[in-house]
Amino acid sequence: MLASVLLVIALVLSACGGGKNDNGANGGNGGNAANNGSSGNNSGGEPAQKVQIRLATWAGADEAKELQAILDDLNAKSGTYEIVQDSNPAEYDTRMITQLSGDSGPDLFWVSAQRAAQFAAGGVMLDITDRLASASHPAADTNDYYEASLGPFTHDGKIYGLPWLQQPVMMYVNKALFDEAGLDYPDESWTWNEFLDAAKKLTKDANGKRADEEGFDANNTVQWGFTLNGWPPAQMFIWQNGGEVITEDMKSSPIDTPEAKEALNFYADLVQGPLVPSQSIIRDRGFDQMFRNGQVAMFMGGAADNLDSTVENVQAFMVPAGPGGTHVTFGDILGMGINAKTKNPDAAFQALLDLTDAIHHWKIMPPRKSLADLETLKELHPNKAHSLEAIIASMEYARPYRYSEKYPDWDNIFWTQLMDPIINAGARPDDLIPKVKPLLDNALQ
Amino acid sequence: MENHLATLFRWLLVPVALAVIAFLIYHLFRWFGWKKKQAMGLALVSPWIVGFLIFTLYPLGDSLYLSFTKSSIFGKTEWVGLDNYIKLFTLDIEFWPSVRITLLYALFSLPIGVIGALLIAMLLNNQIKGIGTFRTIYFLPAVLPEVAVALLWRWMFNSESGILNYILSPFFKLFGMGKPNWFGDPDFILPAFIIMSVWGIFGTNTVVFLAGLQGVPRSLYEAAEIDGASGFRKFLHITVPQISPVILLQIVMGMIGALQIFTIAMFVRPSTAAGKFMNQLVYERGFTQMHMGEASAIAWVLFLIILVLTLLVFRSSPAWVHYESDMKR
Amino acid sequence: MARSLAAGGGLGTRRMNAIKRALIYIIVTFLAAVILVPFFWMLSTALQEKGDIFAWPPQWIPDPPQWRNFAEAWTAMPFNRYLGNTIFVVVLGITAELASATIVAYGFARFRFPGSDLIFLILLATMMLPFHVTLIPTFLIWQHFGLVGEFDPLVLRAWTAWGPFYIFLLRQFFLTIPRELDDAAEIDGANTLQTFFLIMLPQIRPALLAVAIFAFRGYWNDFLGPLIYLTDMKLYTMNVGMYFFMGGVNEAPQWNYLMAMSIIIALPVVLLFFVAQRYFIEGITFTGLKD
Repeated sequence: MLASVLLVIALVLSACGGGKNDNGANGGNGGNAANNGSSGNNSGGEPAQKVQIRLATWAGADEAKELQAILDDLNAKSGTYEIVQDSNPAEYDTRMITQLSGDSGPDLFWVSAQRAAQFAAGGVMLDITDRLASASHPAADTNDYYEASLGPFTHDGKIYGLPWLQQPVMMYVNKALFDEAGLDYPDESWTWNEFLDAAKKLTKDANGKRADEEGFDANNTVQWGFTLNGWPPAQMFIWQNGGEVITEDMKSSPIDTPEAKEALNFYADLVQGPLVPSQSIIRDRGFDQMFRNGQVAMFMGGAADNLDSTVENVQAFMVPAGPGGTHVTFGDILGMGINAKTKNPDAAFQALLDLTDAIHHWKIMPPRKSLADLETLKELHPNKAHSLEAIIASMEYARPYRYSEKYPDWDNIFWTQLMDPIINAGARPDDLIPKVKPLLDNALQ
Repeated sequence: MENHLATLFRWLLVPVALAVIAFLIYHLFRWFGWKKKQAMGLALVSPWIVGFLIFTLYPLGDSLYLSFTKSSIFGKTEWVGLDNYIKLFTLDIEFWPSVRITLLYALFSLPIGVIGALLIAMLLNNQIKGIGTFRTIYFLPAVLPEVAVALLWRWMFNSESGILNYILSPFFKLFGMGKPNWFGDPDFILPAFIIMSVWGIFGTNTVVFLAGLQGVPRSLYEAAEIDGASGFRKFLHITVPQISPVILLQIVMGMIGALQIFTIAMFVRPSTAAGKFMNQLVYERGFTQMHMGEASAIAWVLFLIILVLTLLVFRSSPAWVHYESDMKR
Repeated sequence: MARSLAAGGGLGTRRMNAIKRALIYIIVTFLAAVILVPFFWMLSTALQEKGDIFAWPPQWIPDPPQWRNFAEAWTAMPFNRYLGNTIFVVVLGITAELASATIVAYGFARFRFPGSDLIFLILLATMMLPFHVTLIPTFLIWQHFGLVGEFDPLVLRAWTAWGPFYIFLLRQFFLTIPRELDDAAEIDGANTLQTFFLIMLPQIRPALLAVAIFAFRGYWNDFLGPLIYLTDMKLYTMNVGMYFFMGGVNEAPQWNYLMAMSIIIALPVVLLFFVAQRYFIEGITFTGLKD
């Protein structure tokens, strides 16, 4: 009895909600007839029925809302497809892998660079090489993309997806703390040396003594120059010093070269030293939160982070170069692929191009050279305007990891056997490298 | 709305189909010459059997098969015989630490959970004023989403401002230790998880014991009181035997739960230096590294560990589990 | 226990009782306070302006408390619809689960047939395999039936006594019932169904209630099932909707909304338990034979 009453309530509630939504969707449909044809090459523009394209993303509440506005706009303009959003930030990988293992996967889906390499190798994503070559769409011009950004989506010379965001790691700086210490802001000429000097002057104990002064009390630090907790990745420092963690043929892991060793020691000295808060303090007070609260002066984060747009006196600069002056930074890449099993590859491809282009105009930093124009970007992202010059410059030398099918195995060992002991247990790279190197090589076989 | 009605319709059909199947099974086995009671028993449990055959047998078999293959979920699967298991036992640097920390965790957390829950349930079985509110409060931990619980723990274990270090710091000072870094220091990870398991006492486990205690006939206690038995003797000679079937349930369920610890470990993300829990390893091998073959092998090792331990508990049960209905021994 | 003690009488025992009672009170209150601290923290986070879980020093009582966070969280996503979907899943799931689990548990507890022990062991064993390795094959089965994207994978299986824990629990409780009860009923001419409904079920009322609450909580809080099987945001349940506040790759979690939603979602289960727990006291007392 109670059950049936509840059942009726349930149906009414879902019907109400559904009704509201249907109206919204209908409004969108009504609008599309007039605007038809504006989205590039849908020839003729007289399709009888729009094809539904399901898009899976990891967007959270706010991001999903902004995305929906973009989708409504695209759907209104297109005569071929109707993109339906299916977002949830929780357990995205588990969800995608399970759904894609059958034929019930989404037509389009967001994918991280690491997953893209796995998915492309596994045949999950549609090969779009030929479609891209024959399409005349701004987002289809592969020459326009930064070369590094297409890497993770390329497998055996074929392209399986498009990047919609590449965010180089930037150095966010609390300018007020720099001013207080009488330091100049970082510039292009900064190397590890200038960075270390600044970090020392920016680390200060409760008595106001700086880390390079006599009588500095490391147990009573109230402000740190820098912060590390495994992020930013040690790989970046190894690259800056001219080393590699995976060779170009992806067959071995040269972490025992002098360059790599020196960089790992630099990393270990930082993380175990007085210029960086201890890991338990970072856990307690929050990694980026400490920077937001002015307890940390320099913070390395992705270009899309909102530190510079939400915290006062914060600006993003290029990360320091290696001792030899080599500029490299890690570039995190996010993209979108088409399910190889989609029933509507043509419509899905059209949707992929339109949506990718739309996201390029939505987020920092679009991986396309033609969009890396300072004035245009300033208009699109006024709240990050002061950081954009450095971000655009960083795009030139940002690089992702050398992703492959084997990468996750390698990464697991690199993290659990090398970085975790260095960061959490005070282990030294020189002791670990001989032990870990064969394991890493083995993971790549 | 259409989705709801369509599901509702199919949902109404299923019990009809199951009843028909039960009816047919009953008569089929009667026809085979089974006794009335035997055929009735089989018919009663037949819904579960049907569900098992359709929904569980294939996944079980599939994962067993996969454990003998090299499979990346999407690509081809390739038969490799016992390779996955041999690799686990000999080469895999993560496997034995994982078995070790998982077993140790279960060893400590299981008794805490069962004994703790029984004691709490006995407290709550008293008729004092406001007991309903207290019972509800003690049930609260069962209704929280695990991510909220994990967050709470992260906060409680905070080495600077966490309540745990605040309470424990006199003890640490006594031994000349600083404040431990609970999730970072490998030596403190297992203790941290064991402390967290205390939370499991409350909620479900307490409620089950409470329901069990309610089933103990009052007359037994009254008889014992006339004989002048002490509270402890009553507990040992009346309460424990009377609810022993429930204790058995709690031990078995507690063991399965402890050995399969997963969500909280994934969320807290401690240093991996002390080893990952087995279920964590299954997930990472399967869904991060996409080696479903290896993941299935680890899963089956864990499965066999739990099965053997459960069988041992059941074997021991005639010695201490007291059934009112003497059907089971 | 307390009631039986009170029957004891004498002055000495009465004083003992008073001391014991006071002791129980102290312990029960202390532990309740310990349990409530985290809940207070949840509420406190839910009422924060920004939901900064690292705020230092921690602000225990937000100033001013943002009660509108509850309303904002509710309207940030279409939670009206999610609530309807959740109730739908819960009603169907719990009804089917209770009916089937009780019958199957009764079958295991009171009837012996060739293979019954083995089948019961297999039933327990189904809980022992880590679910991640069965996730994909199970998904493929539902896909084979063409029911991915519908509510069916979440509720149809309930008819087949999906939860081994519920069966195990009910079976153990059936086993605590003296055999003489059903024998007597049979001699009186009751058939299996009559014995089951009129004699057995009233005996295990506390356990049934416990199972009902657990099943309610299980379906109400189910997360991975809806997340994997529902492919249309309009069909999401509340618990899946709540995770929108977990944030994304470049989006910080909104802890205040997350906690507000957690509290809203937890409330019905807490209320249900509060109402139901009274029957834990009276469940057995009036059922005859046992006393």
